[in-house]
Amino acid sequence: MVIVIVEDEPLIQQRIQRLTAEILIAKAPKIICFDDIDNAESFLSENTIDVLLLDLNLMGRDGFTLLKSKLAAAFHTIIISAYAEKAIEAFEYGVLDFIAKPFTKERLIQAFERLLHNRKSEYRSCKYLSVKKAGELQLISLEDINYIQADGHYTWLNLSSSDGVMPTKVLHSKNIEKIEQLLPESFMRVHRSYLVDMRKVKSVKIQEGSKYTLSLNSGEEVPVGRTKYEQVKKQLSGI
Amino acid sequence: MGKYKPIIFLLHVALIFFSALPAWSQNNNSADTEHRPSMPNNVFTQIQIRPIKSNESSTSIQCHASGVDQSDWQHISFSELPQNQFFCLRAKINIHRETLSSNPSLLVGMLGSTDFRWDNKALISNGLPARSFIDEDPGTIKTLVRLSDDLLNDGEHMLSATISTFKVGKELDSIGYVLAIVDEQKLANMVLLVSMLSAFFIGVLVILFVIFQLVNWLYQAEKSYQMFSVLCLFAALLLSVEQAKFWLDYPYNWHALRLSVILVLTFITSFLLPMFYVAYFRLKQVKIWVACSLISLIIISLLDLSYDITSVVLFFAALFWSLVINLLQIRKSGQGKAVSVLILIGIGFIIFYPEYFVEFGFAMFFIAIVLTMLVALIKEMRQHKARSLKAERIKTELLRRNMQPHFLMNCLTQLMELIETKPQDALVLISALSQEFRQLTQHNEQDYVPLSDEIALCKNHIQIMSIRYQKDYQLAVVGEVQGIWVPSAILHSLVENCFTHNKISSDRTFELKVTQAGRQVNLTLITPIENNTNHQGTGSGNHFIHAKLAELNQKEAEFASYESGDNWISQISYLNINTTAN
Repeated sequence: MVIVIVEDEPLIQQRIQRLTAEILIAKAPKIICFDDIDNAESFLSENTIDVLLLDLNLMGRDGFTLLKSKLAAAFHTIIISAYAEKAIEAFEYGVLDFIAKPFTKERLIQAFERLLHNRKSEYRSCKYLSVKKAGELQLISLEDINYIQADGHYTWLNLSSSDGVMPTKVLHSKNIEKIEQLLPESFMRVHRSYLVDMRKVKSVKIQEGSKYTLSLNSGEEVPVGRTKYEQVKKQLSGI
Repeated sequence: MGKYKPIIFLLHVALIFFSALPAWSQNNNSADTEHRPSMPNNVFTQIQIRPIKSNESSTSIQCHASGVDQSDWQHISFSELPQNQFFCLRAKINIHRETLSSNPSLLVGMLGSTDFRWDNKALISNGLPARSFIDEDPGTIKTLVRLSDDLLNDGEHMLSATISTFKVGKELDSIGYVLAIVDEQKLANMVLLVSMLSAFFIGVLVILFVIFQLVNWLYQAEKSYQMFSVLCLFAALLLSVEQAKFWLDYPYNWHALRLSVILVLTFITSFLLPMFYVAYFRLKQVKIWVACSLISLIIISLLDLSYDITSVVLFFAALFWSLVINLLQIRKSGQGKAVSVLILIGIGFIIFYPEYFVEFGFAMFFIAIVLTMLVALIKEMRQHKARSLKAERIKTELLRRNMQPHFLMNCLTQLMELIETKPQDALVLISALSQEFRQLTQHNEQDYVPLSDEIALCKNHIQIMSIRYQKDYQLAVVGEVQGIWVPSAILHSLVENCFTHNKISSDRTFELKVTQAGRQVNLTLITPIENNTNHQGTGSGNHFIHAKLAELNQKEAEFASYESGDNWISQISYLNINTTAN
């Protein structure tokens, strides 16, 4: 397990590192610390990591731009910041967790549990997903996503292209499990490889061989996993 | 304020013109026989005098009889009345009832004791004319008597008087001012108007005196305020003494004294006017200006000119030096244009109408000048207020920077870590932090603090940062700090600036050099730089120092900062304060 810590205050950096090592002692994590995000950049681009524990000055716009670029990456980002009032905004952009300073060991344990046990993000208030396309950062509103399809370690975000400018499919670096952790309740894992915004489902269709598919408002069809059918039906009738 | 300038200027010009108007109209209405265009009727003609010798009496020379031999009588104009004499005066007048005004009265304005007769009938006496200084009972400067209808039948009449003028006290150009038949009502109105106007001006000046004294003592001690205030006081005194003749009918032997007082007050006012501009523009060569104006004023006083001309020339000199100062200032900083124009107008007024300047022009003109000064001073006060507001804002901002939630949260996180790992350090950090907050709050309320206190504050901050960044930063002080006061929080803001702009990743030493030359204190603070990307010298810290020095009226203070190798040098020089004053 590889963990990157970005924190400029030595004592706080020491604290995060110390507590992380204590909490994840069983996993023998590899913890790498950096003073600021610029110094971490080259390491992040060359190495696969599991989680980024990031201290950001979120008061300026620069902080969020930096954050969005991290959120487009394959790894999860947990913010550790004194700017607690920025937590809501950070969640909207899709951070897995936001730890307000000062923090206890218990709070850090909570964050790692969420990460390790694929628990959903606490507030589930994500509104955007950041994607990097041709080196450029794009913010995709969840409103525009019809369904999400897994593709190995990546996922395809299938969009309703209302304006015709946006491509109908965008690749995201995170795998479907990680994406699912961030998304709000309206998104449902209807299949091992599919996440669907249930608000955009028109009907359930039964295909030959007792296969089920969801017919979306956009006309697209998404397969439903055998084990997920009951749950899907319940969710749809509940709405 | 710039857009109002033309309006203020126009107001001034208008004021000058209006000030000239009464002078002209006064000329036409007054019965000053000399200047008055000759009219066929109701004007005293053939004014004659004849001294009454010791062996004669007014009856023996037939002073009041008409048609006597007048060969030994001397023809004069009324302004040529002799001083130190006992004499008889007579004048003829041709009365035409229909051209006479409605309330005809005889107005006599002169220095002397008089006993007037109209067609050899007793008319009015003012004091007791006598043959000698001792016997004379001085009359007042003004005589006004209603001429009843039966005295004023058409035809020639004779006004005669015995007059003594022993108590003038000094050789004057003229002791006879007015001899005329005037409309009593109109005269009263005129006197009322002039009195009200001058009372108004005097009131304004006295109020300005009081206001600027209060401003100087309670708001901000400033030489120009003090000077302005005193100038207003003397101008008010001058005006009241000058205009006293309109409402105060004093015995004529006081006249010379009054003229002397006017002269002294004119001298002082004429000296204060250029001195005000010296103080206002904060000119450095004060002694030269004092010498120039004093010497010129003294020379003028010694020229032995008449009272009126001396006054005018004194004021002319005051205007001249004020003009020179203002013109120099225009070249230097662009200030003083309106004043210069105003002074030029005033000088023109003096040159073309010197006789009215003393009487009327001076008051109005002075008010106009005062108005300009007032505008300038108020502008300055506003600037000062803006500066203090700015300093106040920056001060709050600086304080808040240390109280910011994110700063506090970071500190608390560090404390959590220290408590769990190095509890002793946690205690040190907690006391250093509490010390800093306490001192900063205290310092914020003071303009100056002892340099040793400021250094303690800086050392404390450096200690906090040492713990925070787990380094060993130090502050070395070179020089004597005893007895030196420093504008509060300025060094602290520089040290703080260093940490906000820099991450100092090695143990570095800050250095403060203190030198003192007279009252001048020079502080040089050397702070380390590590990353050159974030430049110092543009942050709120530097704004704070400039604003602070300006707020404290440290006019000669200098603040400069620059990069030198891997250090940032900040140099501040200012005047040490009198420790007893704080």
